[in-house]
Amino acid sequence: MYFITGLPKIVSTIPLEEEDSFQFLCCNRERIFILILRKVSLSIWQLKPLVQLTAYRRSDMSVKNLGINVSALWKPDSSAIVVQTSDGGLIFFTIDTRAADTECYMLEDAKNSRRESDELFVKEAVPYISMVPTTSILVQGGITCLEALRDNVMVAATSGIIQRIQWDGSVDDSLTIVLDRVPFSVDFPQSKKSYLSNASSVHVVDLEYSFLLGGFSLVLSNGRGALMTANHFEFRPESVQCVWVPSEPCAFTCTAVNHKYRLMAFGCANAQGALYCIEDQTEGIQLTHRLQLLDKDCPDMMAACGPVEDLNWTPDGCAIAMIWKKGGFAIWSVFGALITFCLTLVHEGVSRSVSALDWGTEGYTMWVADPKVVFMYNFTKSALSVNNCSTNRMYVLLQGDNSVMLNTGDRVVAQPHGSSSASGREPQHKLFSNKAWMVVQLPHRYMATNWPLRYTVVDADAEYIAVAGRYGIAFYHIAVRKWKTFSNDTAEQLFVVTGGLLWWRDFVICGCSNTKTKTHEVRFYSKTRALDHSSAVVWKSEAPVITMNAFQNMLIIFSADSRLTLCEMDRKAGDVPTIVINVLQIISTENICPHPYCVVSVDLTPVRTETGQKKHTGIREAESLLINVSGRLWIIQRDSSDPYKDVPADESVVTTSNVIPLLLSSCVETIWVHPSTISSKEKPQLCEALWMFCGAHGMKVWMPLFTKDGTRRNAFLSRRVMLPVWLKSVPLCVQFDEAMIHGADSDLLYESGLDNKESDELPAFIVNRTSEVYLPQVLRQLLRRNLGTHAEEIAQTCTKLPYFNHSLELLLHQVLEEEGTSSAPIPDPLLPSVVDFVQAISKYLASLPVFLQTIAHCARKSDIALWPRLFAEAGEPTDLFQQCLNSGRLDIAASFLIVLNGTLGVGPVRKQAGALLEKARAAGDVELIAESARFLRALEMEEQETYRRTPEMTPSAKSPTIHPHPGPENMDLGNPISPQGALTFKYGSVVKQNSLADVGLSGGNKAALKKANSVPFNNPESVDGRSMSVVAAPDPTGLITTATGVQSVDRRNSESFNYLPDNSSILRYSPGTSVTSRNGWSRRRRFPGYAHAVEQV
Amino acid sequence: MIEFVARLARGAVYFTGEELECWITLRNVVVLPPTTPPDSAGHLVASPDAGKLNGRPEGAAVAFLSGQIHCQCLVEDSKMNVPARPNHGLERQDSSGGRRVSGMAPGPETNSFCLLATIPKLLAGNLDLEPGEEFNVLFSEIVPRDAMSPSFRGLALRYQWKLAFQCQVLGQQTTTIYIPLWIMVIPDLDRLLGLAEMDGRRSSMNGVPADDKAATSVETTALTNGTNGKDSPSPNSSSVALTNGSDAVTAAKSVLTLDMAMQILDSLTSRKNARSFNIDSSHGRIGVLVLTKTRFRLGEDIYGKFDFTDRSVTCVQYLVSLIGEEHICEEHRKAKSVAFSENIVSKSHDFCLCLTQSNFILPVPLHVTSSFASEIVEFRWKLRFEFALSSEMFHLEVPSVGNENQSVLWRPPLRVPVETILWDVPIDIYPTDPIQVHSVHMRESLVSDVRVKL
Repeated sequence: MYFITGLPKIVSTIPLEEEDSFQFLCCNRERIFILILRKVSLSIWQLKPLVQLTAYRRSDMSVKNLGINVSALWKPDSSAIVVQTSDGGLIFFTIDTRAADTECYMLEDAKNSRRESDELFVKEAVPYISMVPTTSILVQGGITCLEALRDNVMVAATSGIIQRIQWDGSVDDSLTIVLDRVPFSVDFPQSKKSYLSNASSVHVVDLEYSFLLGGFSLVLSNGRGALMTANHFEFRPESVQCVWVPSEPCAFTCTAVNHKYRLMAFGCANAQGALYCIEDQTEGIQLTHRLQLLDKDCPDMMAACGPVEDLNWTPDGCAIAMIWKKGGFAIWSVFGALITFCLTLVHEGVSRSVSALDWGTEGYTMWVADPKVVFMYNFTKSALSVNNCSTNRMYVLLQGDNSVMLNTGDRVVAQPHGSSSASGREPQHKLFSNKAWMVVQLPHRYMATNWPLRYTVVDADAEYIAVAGRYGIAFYHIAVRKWKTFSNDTAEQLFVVTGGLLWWRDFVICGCSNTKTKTHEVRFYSKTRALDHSSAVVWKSEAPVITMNAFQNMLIIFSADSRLTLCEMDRKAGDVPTIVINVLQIISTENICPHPYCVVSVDLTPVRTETGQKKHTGIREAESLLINVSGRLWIIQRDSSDPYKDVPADESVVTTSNVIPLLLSSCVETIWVHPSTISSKEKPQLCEALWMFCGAHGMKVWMPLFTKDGTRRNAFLSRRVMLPVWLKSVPLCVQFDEAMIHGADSDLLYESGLDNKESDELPAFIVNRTSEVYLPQVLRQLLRRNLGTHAEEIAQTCTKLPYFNHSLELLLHQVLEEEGTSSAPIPDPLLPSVVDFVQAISKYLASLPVFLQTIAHCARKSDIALWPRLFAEAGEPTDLFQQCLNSGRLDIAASFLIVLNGTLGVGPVRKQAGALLEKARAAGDVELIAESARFLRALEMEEQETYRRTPEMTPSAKSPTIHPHPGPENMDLGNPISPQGALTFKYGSVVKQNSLADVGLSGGNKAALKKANSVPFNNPESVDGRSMSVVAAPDPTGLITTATGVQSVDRRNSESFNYLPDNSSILRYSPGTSVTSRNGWSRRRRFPGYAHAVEQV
Repeated sequence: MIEFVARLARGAVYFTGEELECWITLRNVVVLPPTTPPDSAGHLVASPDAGKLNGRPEGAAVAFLSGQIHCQCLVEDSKMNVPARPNHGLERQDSSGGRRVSGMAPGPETNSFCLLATIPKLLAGNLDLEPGEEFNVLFSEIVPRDAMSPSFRGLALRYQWKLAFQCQVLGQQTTTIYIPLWIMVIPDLDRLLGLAEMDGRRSSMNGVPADDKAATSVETTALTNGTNGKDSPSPNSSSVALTNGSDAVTAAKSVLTLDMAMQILDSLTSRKNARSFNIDSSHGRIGVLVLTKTRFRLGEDIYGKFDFTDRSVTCVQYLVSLIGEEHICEEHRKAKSVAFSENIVSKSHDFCLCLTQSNFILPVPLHVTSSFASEIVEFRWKLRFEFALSSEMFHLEVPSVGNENQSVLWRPPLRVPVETILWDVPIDIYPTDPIQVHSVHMRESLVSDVRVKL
């Protein structure tokens, strides 16, 4: 997951008046150097420190003969480059490194000045290199694109051939692939083959090679895509064949391949992207997902963006950047979750199109070239993108090239209850939200020689962070804010972390290779001691370690020989704490893993499948292995008949491969399992669940269904169910106990730079921590599947959450909105079961009138047009109101008043309001008395207003003002002046007379029928401990009540309060005050003639 | 045996002027002799002689329980003179020999004194508790608003805020239980409170925020070689208009709520005007620096941008440091000691020789103390820029030549002579949401639950 931060750095600009422009840029394979192409010149830059190393300007003669620069390609070993020109020429350059030992850009202090800070001294020498043109050739018919294959350059020409040219400029004609002679098959390699017709003049527009895909991803000039494979890695012309990518309605423009996840990405002419994978069994090509902006982000993507100009995967393959012809870029996660997009790169005045994009070292920078500017955005990425281990999934941990950002998430804390006799009562639960990032800057001492940062890991208690750069490791104690590093550079340079970094108890574990002995090791360093090799525990591995993970006292190591090693770690206390490693089992994964590089994560989890179920012991043991290979999540169940525990330690280790892996899901980016060692009694379903993030396919939760005693309820039910959950941001951490998911997103900080002055500013970004409560969605999916009893069980475990009531409202509201506004008839509406569900839950919580409250709050937030539908399920509002009165919940009854007002005539409403007033008087609730009295007055006036004509009103400015009393937050009396006005009254009476189905059509007020534009409580951030009242209270300043004459209303004195005044002219409402709720959600338009009607009296 | 449990309702971080609430439970617990009380994480258990009391299973009596907030000042003797001041009613803990001090009592600091203390509130007296019975009481107190000393850990001086409960169980010594607090000060609170109320009224009238969008101000700062900038801009003076006295007086009476505090801080640190500085040196112009604002909250990021397009001197690289400066007021300073000490909390560096535009992000940590000025010490924040400059002009463009057969190779310079200059920009740092601040302090000494056996 990649997030843009801050402002872009502008690397280079060309003045507007010059004819020159930036044509292309690309990094070398190690992403240390970047080549920037202009029309006639080219330059090579070093990325750290960012300096121009060398530049070359072609002679005018060369430009005349071959044309201007168009594109370029690095030799994989970075020793040469080739530049493609507009007239079909190729110019080869070698990078002259003879003087590379010489240092350039050496800073020397002037005689009377000295640099003091360490940071100002450049530790690493900048090599003094240059480029020398070696040869240039002309390819007949023009060149479309270049790609490196081993020691050759694949050159695709407009004549429909792909030539092989060596880096010295010689052409080997025997290797030339003629597209017309290549057999094409449809979707599957085995299917019938056909050839392109000779006359079609189809040629390759773009191609990219991936070793792990076993071929080239091609875009042809007819707009179709294909995969070109061969049975030999040399790609001899006779052995080459192509498989068509399933045809798309829109033409492809470019392609990019992802090695790790084995995906082919195609950019389309309609601004979208499409991704394909190779299906393992049939080897057919399948669409996995599309990349497209939603209508809410960009209504007309095609018109706004234009065709896709280029696609680029990040170095680790976790995200893809897309640029469009008309400017702007977007970044998607590997399986298609939109991370960031920006369409405002088009500057005022200058028509810009982004011409090239590439990722810098480790993906920390993104380089963008547009005709006149080359700029660079900084990125922070989730620690999960390179080090997908279990402790990193417990917190939101981001790493930048020079800092680490940590957020430890929100906490629900039990608070003592508010009265002195509270000993018997349950503590309240409050949510402490914490969106702040803890930014830890990396120590200069370590980063000066070991830039860039590669691996980051936080320990389970969020007390320590360990990092690994180019060499060695360092770690940080959060509480004392101190870094620990090796004492010198030589000690650091002994090893390179290659395969993950973990915390296990007080040890940091790194999978590394020893630079001295060239062996592969797993090293353990104690956090309590100084970082020193003498105290390290070293375990030798046979092959390079790719990734690691720990579960309880088990260590699982995946190495480059595609084998999983399960070890048991035993900590031996003593003066020097040490670890004894005991290999338990080695599992070969060759049958599911095409290449070790494709393994994203390995996990040992307590998750059980149905077949491998065991009795519920309460202790979470390692039950299964989860391996994510290129996004396919495999589960290997522990064989209970032959548990590894019974294998004696001295017995020779057996390599078994007879375990049967099951494919759980594809397109998986990250998984989450509850980290606790003991199974949770409070929320067993939520805590035993397995979460998977699947990009464009949303989040999936694989949830166990069992009753509290651990027995099966229905024999025909499967023990686990897979539910989809849709999120608004990219998830990075699942908080199982809080039923919440944390993530992050890049937000626009400043639309146009810092100073708002210059029109050509580039936008700045900031990374936000986001959070979403997933409970409503999970409950809804269970209800949808007729698993209502399970939904109830899950809901019952969560009632202590401070946002539980809010979740119910959210659930009801979402279903109501969707089913109420749907134009097509819904065959199996969910609303009845949701209402039943809320009722059932509220029965369980006998002390709280959850049902009434949820219905009232939901109605208040829904459009009036949806009310009939809601109350058809929930019961008559009058009955509900009576229930509130009978149960003594006057505050909820007050909430219903506005609903009654919308559905009943004035008379009945007045009667009900009178009843409420009586009750309030009996209860001595002064606030409520005043508010309901005010409501009654307003009713009275509305009644009169219907038959009075309205002259102009002149509000008297001198009259004393009474601010409506703000009142307690939880008193949702709403706005006593019925905001829907007289028309809604008529509408309300219609409800009584007509059948429900007719109501939606017969309502005369168009505005009232319109769907509410925004859903106020949809905002996940509104889940706030301090203001849990989710219904917006009426804005105290929204209305100014003006009393004239003698009846200056004493709101406190309820006895003298005449709640049915004979003369309603005592009150006047100032015109033009808008009726909006506190959160800015405009409820309904105020009836325009209303204020005038009052004056008439 | 009596168990004393104190629980702060909202954690241990508060603004001055805010009301602090602490729930206290006194419970007569029946002690089972051999088992030691479980020490759950976060609870401080101090029961040095738990076994002694076992022979008294009947009810216990609490003679009294009182609570107060106080601020302790610890000074480094070698650096400053301890100012003479009256003791605010709170006796020195170490002087009264007979008392047993438990919990987190400060050590016997010879150079510490009580700066400020609220009047102790009696919470219970002559309280008899049967075994298993418990007594709950709420202690609430306003953190003194006129306190100018936030919790602070400086080199020469430390301010420690504590909640102190004194409790005597009949037949035992009086025990003082300390709960450390982290108190933050919003400078000029009274004036701002009046202002905020006015703002609130004004904005409620016309529906638009009262803050006018001020234009960007441009200042030119001349830099001298090797020294601090001589005329650094003063960002905090004139932008907030003074209000009349009556508002301030009425505001001072009320308790500061968290919402009010956050509103004040929001308006103080909102991005009203970006400031841009033309940076010049003795050799010529370096470039333009734009800062989004000069008032920041804890936990915020400082964004700055350099534009080098219009320059006559090349900036090879720069280093920005966020520095907290602890100034000892002159009358308290020891004759030979330094006037101030600096503490660098974050840094950002860029090698910008070849760049047209560079920028930096400096995080303001959450754990530091915001700017304040007390009678003894003044704590200021500043950004220090170190520029390594080269007077030679630098051209990245490859020059063209007249000969049309000639290509041109550009090579970098081997040596770049640099001169380093320093420049300080004062900024203001304000506190932020106590709940956020609590999240970083929780890892250290601050706890919201204290459990003591008496």
